[in-house]
Order: sequence, then structure tokens, then C-alpha cells
Amino acid sequence: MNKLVSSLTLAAVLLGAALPTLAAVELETRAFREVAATNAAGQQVTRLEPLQSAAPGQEVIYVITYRNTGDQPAQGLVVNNQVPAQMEYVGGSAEGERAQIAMSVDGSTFGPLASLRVPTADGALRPAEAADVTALRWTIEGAVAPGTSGTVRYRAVLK
Amino acid sequence: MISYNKNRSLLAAAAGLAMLGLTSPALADLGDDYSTQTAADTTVTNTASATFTVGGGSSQSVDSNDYEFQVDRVVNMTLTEDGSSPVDTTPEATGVATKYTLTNLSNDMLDFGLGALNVTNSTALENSLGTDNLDASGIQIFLDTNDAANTGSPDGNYDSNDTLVTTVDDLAAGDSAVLFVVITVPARASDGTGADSGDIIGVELTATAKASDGTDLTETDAANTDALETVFDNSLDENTSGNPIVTVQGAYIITDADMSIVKSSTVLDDPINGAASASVFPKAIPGATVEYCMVVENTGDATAETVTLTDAIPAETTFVTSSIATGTGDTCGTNADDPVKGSESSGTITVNFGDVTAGNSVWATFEVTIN
Repeated sequence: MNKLVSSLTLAAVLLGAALPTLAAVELETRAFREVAATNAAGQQVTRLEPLQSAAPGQEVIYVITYRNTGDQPAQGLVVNNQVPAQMEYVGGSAEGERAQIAMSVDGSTFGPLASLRVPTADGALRPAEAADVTALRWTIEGAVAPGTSGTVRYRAVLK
Repeated sequence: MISYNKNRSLLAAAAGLAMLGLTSPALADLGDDYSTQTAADTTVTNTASATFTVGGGSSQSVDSNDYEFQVDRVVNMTLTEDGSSPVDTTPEATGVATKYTLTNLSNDMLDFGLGALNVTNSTALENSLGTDNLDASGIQIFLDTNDAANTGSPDGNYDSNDTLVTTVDDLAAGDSAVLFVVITVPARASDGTGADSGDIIGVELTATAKASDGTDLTETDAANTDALETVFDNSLDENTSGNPIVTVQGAYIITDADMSIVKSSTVLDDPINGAASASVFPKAIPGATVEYCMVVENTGDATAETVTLTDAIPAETTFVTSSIATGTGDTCGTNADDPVKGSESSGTITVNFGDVTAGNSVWATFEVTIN
């Protein structure tokens, strides 16, 4: 009994010790749309406008920002995003600095799109297409230093 | 195996958020049918998550905010005529219908206001329906809600059980309504003031899209907000109030019977010369027997019904009892009817021919003696 109490105490101490060193990675999801505009010099430019509503067919740019607000490096950061059910992923649009990008058509198996297969009605498998993608994963190489941030992004069209 | 395109990522990093390295139109072309697309007012939510470790510790996870945006309303609809125009009709006909289909291609349930008007005379109608030269009266719009047997099932045909309407309410995305424009044809007149064979009545049906609560719809020009905004498909016209409309034309063509009558007489014999022959030509003198021949022809393009011929026997003559003969064709005496279709009463010959189809003739003869 005494030993068990000790173990619990030790666990509490370890937990307590971990708290001050917790790297707080914050994650923010935003969506934008591209708007054509003319700048002061009269040039046609494209700017990004925060998206509050969209009609079907609208292409949306999702931007996910990670930020290490802690005081220690964050290792092995993996950002996951399920493509909203109403959205269709635009092939080749996933990006991210220092990021290895993988995707999934079933939410469990991740890999490059070319490696993925989708079961057909007759039980066979066909190569996956961009429209089949249901989830994206960015594996950030190296550590995210305290106070730094980065973004990963992709485009999707409202179905 | 995980792909990693370093060059592109570096390029994108240098370019920053404002240039993501891909170009695309603001509104991708997904066709004009929005009814199968995401419904208006849907909230699209996206939440990212991440895992990481610190100092070799156990994996930690974090979720992002929920980013939400609303799906806007995209309005599109079609209104088509069913191909039966120009519909054949006749002078003074009532309840004559042309048929149309209204389809809601929006991503939202809508109401539609309806209106039907005569097309201005001398207007060339769409879809080669001819040139309008006559107006109808009593134009009404009916919604196909029932069938002739009154079972309550729309059957695609106009019948008296259908519903007189000025709106179509709560037409769901992707649904269609069958509409009828029903008219009364003016009375017969060949001088241009009324219905004559070949005249064309054009009508124009207009449907104005409204929100499902019946309020007018205008396109949202203001900046993108989280309110339900309304966008019109580029194919739609707008009325003077900026409401989205579709119009279609239909036509009715007048087909009418057009009767002509030709009357001739022949002296069959007289008391002096005797009966007519190749060399005997009896004269119309007192006591002579004269045969009247009347040929009635339908020169129109519709069947003439219950054709009745009446002819007063000349006062100076006396009807020869049982001398009436009738028949078909344009020559008296050919294809005689048996029994005869005419009778004499009080000095008037009356023949009831019944129907005479377009382009055909009937005849009647009777004999008199000159007093």
C-alpha cells in the first residue's frame, strides 16, 4: 500500500515537473478566397480576402498556422486536417515549408495520392483522384523553435 | 513513402501567402445546375489538429479553432415550352392550353411569381413559332396538380381539376413544376379584327424567382459577409427591380372551317320543247321543271361540324315533292346519299350535312316547276 502511494506521488511529481516545460503549440485555421483587384500602380493583382460565405464552385484556400508559444522546441510536429465534407480537394494544391505532405482517402492510410486506392462498386480498386481525398497530413521536418511559426495550406472547391 | 517537393515549398515560402503558386478563377465552372451542389445556408466547418513532442516526452495534441463559413444562395432556373406549340385551336375556343416546365436549378428552395401576357402583334415568336398577329383574352396560368379523373395526381395534362395560380410556392432545389397558359380565342372574323384560319396568338410566360418566404431576391453586391448572400447565374435576366426572371413564349394557331356555296340551275324540260337532251334545250317558261344544284365546299383547314344548308323556294315556283337529293363531292348527282339528308317545309329546303372535313364538298339538289 505504501509503495502504491509512492508511485502515485512520483507520477504527480513527474506531471508537475512537466507543466512548466510544456511546449504550447497553437494552431489556427483560416479560409480565404482570391479576389482580383487593381493596385495603386494600375496593375492587376490577386489578393486574399478572408472568406465568410461562398457559393458552390467557389475555390477556397485553407491556411493552417502553427505557432510555438512555449519556451522549448516542439519536435515531430504533424498537422492533420480533414477536408470538410462539402469541399473537394484541388489536386496538387497542398503546400507547406519543410513539410512532407501525405493524404488519405479513408482517414487511416496516409501517403502520396498516387499510392492510394479507392474501392469501386464491384469490389475492385482504382487509383485515387484528388476528389477522393478526405484528409491531409503535413509532417514538419526538424523542430519548431520557441516563438516561431509556419503555415501549411491547400485549396478546395465548395461542392 | 512520403512525397516532399522542396523546390516548390521554398518558392511558395518566398512568395508568401498572397501568392500560393496556383491560379484559378474565383468561381469554378461547375455547370448551371446548382441544385445538386451544397445547399444554401449550410455551415462549412474546418478544424485542424496537430501532434508534437517536447524534450522526448509523450505526444501531445492540439486542435485549432473551428473556421466556419456560410454557403450562399445561387439562383438559377429554366422555363421551357413543351414543344407542342403552336397548339391548334378554333375561333371562340375556351380553355386552350399551352404547356411549360419550370425547373429550380438553385441550391435553395424558392418561390416563383408567374405572369402571362399576349405577345405584341407582328412580333416574330421564338423557336420559329411564327409571327404573332392576334391577341387572346382571359389568359390564366394553371399549375398541374391533378388529373381529369380528380385523383389528385399531376398528369402533365391540362384539365379542369388543375389549380389556377399566380405563384409556385416552395419549389425544392432540383424540382420542376408543370404550368399551363390557358386562353380564350377571339370570335371569328376574316377582316383582321378576329380569329381567322392561320392566325397566330403568341403568349409569353414569365417566372420571377423569390425566396421561399415569398420575398423578392436581388443580387448581393456588397462585400462578402457571413449573411446568406444571393448570386444569380450568369444566364439569368433581371426585371427592372433586379429580380431574376426567365421567360418563354408559346403559340396557338387558328384553324377554321371556311365554307363556300355555289348554286346553279338547269331547266330539265318545258311543256313545249320537252325533256332536255343533246339536241333539245328546254326553256324556263311557265310549266317548265327546273333543278337547282348547290355545292358546299369547306375550303378551310378544320372540319366544319353540323353543316346545315337552307334555301327558300322562289315564290314564282312550286316545289316538286320528293325531288330533294344530297350527296358528297363537288358535282351534283354523284355519290348520292341514301337516305336523303334534306327535307322541305313551308317553302324552305333544309339539308343537315353533318361534318364536312377540310377540303371536301357536299351537294344538294331539288326541283321546282315555274308557275
